[in-house]
Amino acid sequence: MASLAIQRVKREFKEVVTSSEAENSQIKLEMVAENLKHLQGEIKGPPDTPFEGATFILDILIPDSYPFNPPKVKFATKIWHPNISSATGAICLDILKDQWAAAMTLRTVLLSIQALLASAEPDDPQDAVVAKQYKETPEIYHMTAKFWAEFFAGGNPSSYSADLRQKVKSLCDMGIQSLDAVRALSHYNWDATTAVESIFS
Amino acid sequence: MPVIWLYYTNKESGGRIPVMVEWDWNVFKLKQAITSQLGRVPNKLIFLGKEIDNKTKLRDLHMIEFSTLYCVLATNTMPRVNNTKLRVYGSLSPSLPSRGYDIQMPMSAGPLDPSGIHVELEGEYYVPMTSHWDKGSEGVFDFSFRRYVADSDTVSEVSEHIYEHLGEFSLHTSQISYETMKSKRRYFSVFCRDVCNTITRGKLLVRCWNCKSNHFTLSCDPSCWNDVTGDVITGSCVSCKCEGIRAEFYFNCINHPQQESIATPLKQVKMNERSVECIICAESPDRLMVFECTSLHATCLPCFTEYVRVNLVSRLFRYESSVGYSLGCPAGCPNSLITDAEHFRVVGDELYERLHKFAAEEFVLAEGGVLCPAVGCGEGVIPGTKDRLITCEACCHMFCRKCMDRAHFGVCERSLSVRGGVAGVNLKGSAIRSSWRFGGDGRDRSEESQDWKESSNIKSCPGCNAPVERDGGCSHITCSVGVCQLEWCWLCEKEWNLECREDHWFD
Ligand SMILES: [Zn+2]
Ligand SMILES: [Zn+2]
Ligand SMILES: [Zn+2]
Ligand SMILES: [Zn+2]
Ligand SMILES: [Zn+2]
Ligand SMILES: [Zn+2]
Ligand SMILES: [Zn+2]
Ligand SMILES: [Zn+2]
Repeated sequence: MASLAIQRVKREFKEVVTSSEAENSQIKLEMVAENLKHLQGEIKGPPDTPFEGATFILDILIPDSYPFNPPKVKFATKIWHPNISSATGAICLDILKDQWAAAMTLRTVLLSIQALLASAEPDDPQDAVVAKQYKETPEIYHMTAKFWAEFFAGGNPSSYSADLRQKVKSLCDMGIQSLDAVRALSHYNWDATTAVESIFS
Repeated sequence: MPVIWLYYTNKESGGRIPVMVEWDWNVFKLKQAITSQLGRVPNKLIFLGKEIDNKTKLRDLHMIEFSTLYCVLATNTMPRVNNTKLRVYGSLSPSLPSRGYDIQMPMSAGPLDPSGIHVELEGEYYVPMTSHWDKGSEGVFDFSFRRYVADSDTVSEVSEHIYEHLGEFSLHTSQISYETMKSKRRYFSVFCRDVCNTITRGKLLVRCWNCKSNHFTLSCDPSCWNDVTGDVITGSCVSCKCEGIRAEFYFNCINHPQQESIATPLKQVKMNERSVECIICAESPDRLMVFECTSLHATCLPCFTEYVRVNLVSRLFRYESSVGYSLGCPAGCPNSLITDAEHFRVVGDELYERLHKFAAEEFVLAEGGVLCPAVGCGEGVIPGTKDRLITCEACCHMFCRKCMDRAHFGVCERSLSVRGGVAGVNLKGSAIRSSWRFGGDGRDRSEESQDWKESSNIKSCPGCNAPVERDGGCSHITCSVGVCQLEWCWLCEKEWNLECREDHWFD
């Protein structure tokens, strides 16, 4: 790894750890296996969003050409959001692509991703199914996003979560994996019949 | 208050004034009083035939009321030297040992201007980060120091503000040594193209525009870059005996001044006089590459080199008709493109050549031209607006402008999509990085074009045929070729449209 990349990551590590956001446990950064190339980030779901109370783990890879090229970041925690792939966790965020600037840091990356959770851009989606739901049936999107946050990321339970859990369970009883069940149900706006059909067809 | 007489002289004037004093004052305080009364800085004070020392109290000089003092005024405030050593006594901070410090002080800014003070103490250097000189309130130093330890990379901030009253300082004018600090001297940076092949220190020279003789006297000194690069300054030439002839400025590399060589000035490489940090690595080197954004962001030269290299290889330079093919501030600031391409020479000859090739291609595309698709060619062709079939002048390959395939008759079926379709939809910021896969000389597209067609990670832009490599991310691609910038869909290989947004499973 280039010495500048190492030097920068060390410094940015310190910046995150000593930041006021880290103090308020909004963001967190850790090394994976003592390796500065592979880091693990953590962000809290912002208040007044379906993600409130949830904690999301991010997988961060630092390229050798860092900071001239952006870090590769994806969600390790499952999330339902128009700009994040519900399957792979890939993020559609300009600063992780062509709007990256060498003066940005891991702290700004974590905060930008947190900000993305608070303001989705459905016209520029990473996940078209989620984006479509977001635009056409915002109530269902909100419910689904909140359920995913609760189910996968320790978010606060909502009034309808027992109901949705019951639907997931009924699919699991047919021998479907719970992750596949949640995905299919979310995809088909919680219509259990269509979801089951899609899985078995 | 007791009064003493002060006789003052300098080259132009002289006189006698009464000065009110306190016997408790030291000589430095007296000098301050004289300065505020005369508006001039006393260089030396002489009492009973001897120069008196700043630290000494007036009482200890056995001065009495109406004593006469002689004062030599500094000509034009202070000597015109850049850096001067002053010795300061007293403790700068409780955490620093109390003893004498050698302070490097730029005198050109006026007397006692502490900006740029360097404190050197047993291998440790203290450089003020912020400084404030309050003349009104008894001269309070308010510094926050950065500590550098010699022979080590560690830098720590001595963040406490240090207050010190002038009374505790004693400035020995006799100890001023006009020793200019070599390392901090200002100089021009040039790119030595012939010999060193790197950024070196340059010497600005002048010669007669007419006969190229160096026996040339300027009518006035240049004061800015425009003076040096333009043709505004004149002079007289001894060799061809011309008066008012144009002066020609040029640069020489300091490493081999006798040799005729090309050294091009790098205007944006500047001396780092205020300990500015590189925005990429936070080092504070002697020289910086300064961008022309409003924040004047700067990087060190190694970071600049790497920044240029990475962005050139990934073809992320931008083409703007007023500037050409260039690169802006690494913080992403607007209006910060580097205007003089000489700065890009830092990446070495091979990549610099490639830059010119890219720039030429961008120019062709900007002018409505196309690049020849023949294997191994890539020549830029600017055809007439109506021609569909184009013949490349370099390789004689004839191709269809619409599908970029071999020339064919009839209507072209695979016409490239029309740009600008998705009205009113915000598609910004979803581009992925694309890279042209050229070999070192930028000419061997032949072999590479074979393997990029085979790899599923590489497709060509439907707008301009530039090969684009996808390394993850969404299917919404924005072409990075400056004039193209087509937004297209990775899956359909067509212009990005409403269906793409809503119908594809993106993963
Ligand atoms: Zn040289
Ligand atoms: Zn001449
Ligand atoms: Zn640097
Ligand atoms: Zn800038
Ligand atoms: Zn050709
Ligand atoms: Zn055709
Ligand atoms: Zn293109
Ligand atoms: Zn598409």
